[in-house]
Amino acid sequence: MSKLISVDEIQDGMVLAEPIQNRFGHTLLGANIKLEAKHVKFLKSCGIQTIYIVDENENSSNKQYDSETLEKAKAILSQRVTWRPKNDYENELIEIATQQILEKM
Amino acid sequence: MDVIKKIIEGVNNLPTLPTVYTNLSQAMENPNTTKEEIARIISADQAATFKILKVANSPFYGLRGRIDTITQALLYLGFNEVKNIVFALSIINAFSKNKIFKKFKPLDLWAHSIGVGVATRLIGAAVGEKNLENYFLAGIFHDIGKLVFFEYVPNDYAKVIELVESKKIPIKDAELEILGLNHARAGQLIAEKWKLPQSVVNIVSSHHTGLIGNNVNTLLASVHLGDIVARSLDLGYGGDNFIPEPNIKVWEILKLPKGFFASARKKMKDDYERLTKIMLSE
Repeated sequence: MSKLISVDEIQDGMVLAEPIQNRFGHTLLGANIKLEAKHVKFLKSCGIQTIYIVDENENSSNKQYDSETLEKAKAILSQRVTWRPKNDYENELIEIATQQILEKM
Repeated sequence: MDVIKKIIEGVNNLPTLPTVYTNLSQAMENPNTTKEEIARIISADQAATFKILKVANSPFYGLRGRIDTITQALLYLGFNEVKNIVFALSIINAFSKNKIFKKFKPLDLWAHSIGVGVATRLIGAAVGEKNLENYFLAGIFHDIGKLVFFEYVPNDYAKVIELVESKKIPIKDAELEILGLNHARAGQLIAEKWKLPQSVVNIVSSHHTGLIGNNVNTLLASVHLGDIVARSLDLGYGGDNFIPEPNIKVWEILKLPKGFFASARKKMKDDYERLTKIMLSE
């Protein structure tokens, strides 16, 4: 899975998730290249401002939240969801909505 | 019913869609048109071509290879999908994006609509639908009625938006209260005027309930659910903050794998980011 970052945020060791092409379709950098600081200047000179890197932190969504934050999120959610989930699918929907609220806080 | 009159008049005097789309539509209706001619019609509009290729190459379509030409786009995505992309781009550019409204602007609506388009298509793919070509467009188009309101009765719509804020009610209810009709109905008028496929007209008129009469169809169910998912993930803004309750019948029609929402969440957000960038930039 990939993560969108600004070219300024490139750090050594990041891996390019997809090839970067210019508007003529020429590949400037191929996918899976290990990025280094030297790439920043090059990309900027080609007018590239954002790139996709391989996201190692898939588990960032399992971050632990304290109970006060969770309570706040629940309160926000109850303004937006005025119904009770009736099955697993609806529970999942509520979960992703809650996750979204927590991430925005 | 001053407002409704204004709306119907507006719909009758709709801005003409860009040449590339009307030429393309006509060419595609003619069974003698070759695919080279179709590619040529699209390629004649450089700005459209550039955007279509970018959309075609986005991970949204899962095509790892490079799509360098319109001919390849037609080959890999299919004629109808490409035509739908051209159409979506045409209508986005036909209406003014930058109207000054507080809280809710046309640009927010387009972002929400693209979000619903993304979610709808991913849902359709997840339930194994073979023919996905109208899924993205149906999602993008579902709230077109709101655009009609922005465009033709802006002062009244500003009051609608204020009512949403003050009474904390869904925008479709506020529309009914102030305008006498909601965006599903207004959208249906415009979809019929533009002679869109009946399946898309149904989406516009019935996406809140997810039903046509008592029948559920997969596309409609997907848009109904796609709208709810897009709101859950804050993909754009549809005019109010509510996350509506899904129609219980959609779960019978859409046999989604367990854990689908959690696992598709990231892809939906990523695809949404990319496509809004491509499609909403000048």
